[in-house]
Amino acid sequence: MAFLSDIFSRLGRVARGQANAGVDVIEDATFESTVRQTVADMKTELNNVVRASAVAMSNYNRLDAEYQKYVRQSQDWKDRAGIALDAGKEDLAKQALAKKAECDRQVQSMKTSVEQAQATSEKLKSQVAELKRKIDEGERTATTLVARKNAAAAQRKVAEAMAGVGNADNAFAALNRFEETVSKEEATAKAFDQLASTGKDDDLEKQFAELGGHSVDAELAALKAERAGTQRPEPPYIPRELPGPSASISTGEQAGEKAKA
Amino acid sequence: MGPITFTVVGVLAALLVVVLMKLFEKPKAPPPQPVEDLANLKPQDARVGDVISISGAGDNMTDLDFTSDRVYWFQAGSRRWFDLTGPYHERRVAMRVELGEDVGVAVASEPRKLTLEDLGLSEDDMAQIDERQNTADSFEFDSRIWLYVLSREAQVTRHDQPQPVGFYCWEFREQDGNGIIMVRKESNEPFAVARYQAIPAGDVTIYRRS
Repeated sequence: MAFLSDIFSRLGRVARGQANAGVDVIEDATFESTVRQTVADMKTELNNVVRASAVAMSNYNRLDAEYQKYVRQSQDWKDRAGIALDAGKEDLAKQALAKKAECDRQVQSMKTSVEQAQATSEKLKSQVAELKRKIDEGERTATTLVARKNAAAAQRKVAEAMAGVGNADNAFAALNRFEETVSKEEATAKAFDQLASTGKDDDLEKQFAELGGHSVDAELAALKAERAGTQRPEPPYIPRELPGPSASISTGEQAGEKAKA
Repeated sequence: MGPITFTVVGVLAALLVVVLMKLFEKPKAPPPQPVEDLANLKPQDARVGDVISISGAGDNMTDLDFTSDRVYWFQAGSRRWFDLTGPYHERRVAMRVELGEDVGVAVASEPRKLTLEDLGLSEDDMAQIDERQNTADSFEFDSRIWLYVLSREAQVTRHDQPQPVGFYCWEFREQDGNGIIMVRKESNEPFAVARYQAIPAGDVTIYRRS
């Protein structure tokens, strides 16, 4: 059972890790559209607030128009009452004042509602303005975020390419591999060349060749003398000075000078 | 480990694979639908039913808020503009929006109704001004100088009356100011005068109900 518990625990850890990685991938792939959708959601919310504000403001405008009508009518009846009084028609003035009182009652009853509606309307207007400002700011932030995200992704790609840690078909990695192959082949060729030339000294060979050439001449001379039978053959020619062992590493010029000597 | 345990582990592993495959599936996120931006409606977008709020243009420097209930579309040659009107404090106010490359916005909120006589002009004056078509012509009204801009035939269409109505119009602009005076003359109708004040388009906020 302990074994199974361990397995499940590890599987759970793997699943959580993969799930997180998967969500990261999804977020990464849909970053821009997610950010834009967030802004769009905010705008939808703002539209709802604007609509609600428009309804409230429209109601206030209607209520205010009604209220203003009663205020004006009250003033009209007061003016008429004055005219009636001036004309000595007190009864008419009384009727006008009664009408004015009616209008005043309407004005009184509406006043609180109008004031409340006006306060609500003003508050909604300032709230819409504030929300609009915040959403504008959010939109700017979203645009900046998307640009930064894109820039970061581009930077990461360049860095990966430069470091050669990109995917297998990375062009830089391929070029590096080609360069290594060519260098290896060049090194091999050089090694073979060195091997082939080990222990070989052209100057020394030449001098020995020349030495060998002198012996043949001496032998030819001896043969001629023998044939003629007149005198003893001359001893073979021996150069007065043989180049020392160090001559094998002398420069070409030195070897040439010695050869002339 | 018995066969049952193996089976359970196998089933769980298969489920895990399915979950992981679902997770790594590239989601096809639909592009966000363009949202109607009601918070940034411009004066030229305004229409009947909208609540118009003009900052500081109302009485006592308050906001001029009115619910538009009529729109008049004007055309004079290539010039086009509309007046969106509505009730405000027992009178009718209007927002005039001149369409074109540069959108001009003006508001008419004069409490008193102006007449040609208020301007100190007569019908003969208007006829002479029209005949001269001289932009140096001017008259004085309300301690300001008003310069002649144009006079010509035009037509107006009300939103609920599709048949356009022809009229003759004169336009004057305040010298060194933002005032506009429009004089209209329809046949068999008296001269109608409207005074507007040009305002920045940014002072206008449109609230749309739907």
